Amino acid sequence: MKEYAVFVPVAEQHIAAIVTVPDDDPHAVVVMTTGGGGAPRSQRFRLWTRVARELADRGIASLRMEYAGVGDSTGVARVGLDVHPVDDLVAVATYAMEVTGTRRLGLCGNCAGARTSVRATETLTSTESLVLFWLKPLASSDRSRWRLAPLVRMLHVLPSSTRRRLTRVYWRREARSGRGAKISQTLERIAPDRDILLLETQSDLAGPIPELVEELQRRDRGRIELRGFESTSMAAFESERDQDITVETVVGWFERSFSAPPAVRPGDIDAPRDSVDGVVAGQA
Amino acid sequence: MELSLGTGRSLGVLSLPLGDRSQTGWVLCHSFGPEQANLNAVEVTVARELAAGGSPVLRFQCQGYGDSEHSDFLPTVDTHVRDTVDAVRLLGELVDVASIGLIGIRFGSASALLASAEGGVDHLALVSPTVQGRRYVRDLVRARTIIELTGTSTRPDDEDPWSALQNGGSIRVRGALITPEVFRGFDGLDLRTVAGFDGSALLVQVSAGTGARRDVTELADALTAAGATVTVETVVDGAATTFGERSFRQNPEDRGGALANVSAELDRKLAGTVSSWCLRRTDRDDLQEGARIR
Repeated sequence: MKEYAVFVPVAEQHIAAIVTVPDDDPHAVVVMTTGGGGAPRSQRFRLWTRVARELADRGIASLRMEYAGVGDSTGVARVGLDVHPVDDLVAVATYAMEVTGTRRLGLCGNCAGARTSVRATETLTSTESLVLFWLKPLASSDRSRWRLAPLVRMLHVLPSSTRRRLTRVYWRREARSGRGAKISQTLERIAPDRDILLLETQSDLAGPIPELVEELQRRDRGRIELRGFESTSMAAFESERDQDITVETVVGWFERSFSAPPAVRPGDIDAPRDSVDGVVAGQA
Repeated sequence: MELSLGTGRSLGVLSLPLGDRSQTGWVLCHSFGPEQANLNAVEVTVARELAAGGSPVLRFQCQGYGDSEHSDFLPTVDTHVRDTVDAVRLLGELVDVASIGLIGIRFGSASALLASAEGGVDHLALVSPTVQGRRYVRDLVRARTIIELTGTSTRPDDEDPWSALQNGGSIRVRGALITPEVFRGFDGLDLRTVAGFDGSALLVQVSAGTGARRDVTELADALTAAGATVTVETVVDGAATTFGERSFRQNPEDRGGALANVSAELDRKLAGTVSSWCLRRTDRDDLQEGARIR
């Protein structure tokens, strides 16, 4: 296994990233992103570093990146639940495929990184597999929600069971009113013939995701799964157990995805597969 | 760039001036546990400002952090210091410098001062220094407790983590494991008793008010008694109360909903204070070097 520190030029900025490649030619590459909380490319608690090295042991290359303005990347950060640096991810993923010599692509991210990955897949047609932590379609940085902040604080005086019940009612109402539909529709568009693993909390921020997953599973196109994962928000990945589950889940999912032959999608027919052959990661 | 630090490989970022390069190089020492990532933004700002002023700056990740080699490595006070000593040596090999200074933020200050005892360090810039290790761990535990009380974090490993530590147990603070061995390193740490540094030192107090912090004053006195030339500066900012915590939060000014580094203004103030002091050391060293050459 080898690791290369790189700066990828994207527009006026330079995106800092680490490319990890196995000793032999990789048969796929996974690009890992983080959420909007300023986590470094290695992710909190070095999770993506661990994932990258385990993937390399299984013949899969990876790239872990920092958005513009985060960590060693230049520029000013502009990322959030409703602000997705899709251009950064598309440019970096294209670079990752070129330097590793494979077009079999996987994307992995949490929160804003998960939403960015879904949206980038519309452009990155060779994406075969995604692992998305906390897509939570109902969560939003919508400023109108801020008006509810005093009410939310008042809720804390209520017993936790009552609080949970009221919260559930609220999110159900939000889901019925169509909130969160946008990212769910994008997810539905990119789902056919792709492997998608969604990890959501048991809270109702998942909105329409459970129904959508059931519907897509019925259509039997690609492999889509929804799993519960309690760790979220400020406590993301903090416990040792959550960290181990995360590494095991991500590595296991991509290993299974890329052990199967690639699915051929209509958009792939004209893809310039040959143009990237022979480019070695050492040139990064 | 790849660096050989302690027991393995790690990653460093060398910021170099585009124009004339001074003869003083700087090594930036990061903090402990969750603060390593949380304070990364201010470290980058300091490094780039210093490099823009003409000084080469090496940032590095100690073993157990970020992209360093060993996935299961448990960093201690001793390993931080050992890796810092290695980084000082490597900077001397990477760039042509006549003198080297260390910049440490929070616990990075302790690494810097302890590493300076190994020699080869002419200047120290210590930002919000961790003067007493025991108090530092206590503050980390307290911050964890406060966050848990908001109901947004995981449940405690133990009813009273501080007691657990003192009774020889292990705890996790914001994801960082503190074992009895790790705690022993902090428990015995008191920068006021560290002798051997007699160069120039900057102590930066980071606070919401202008009142002098007692531990910073005592550290300044101890360094002066040891023969160092000490300057104390205070950077006042409202964000000082959460210095070392996660700083990317919802930005009320951004209608698009992007999160922002709410400590950016404090980071800029600190970078200005530290780099202007460091660049004055650089000027002095260059003059002395020029005098020697002549």
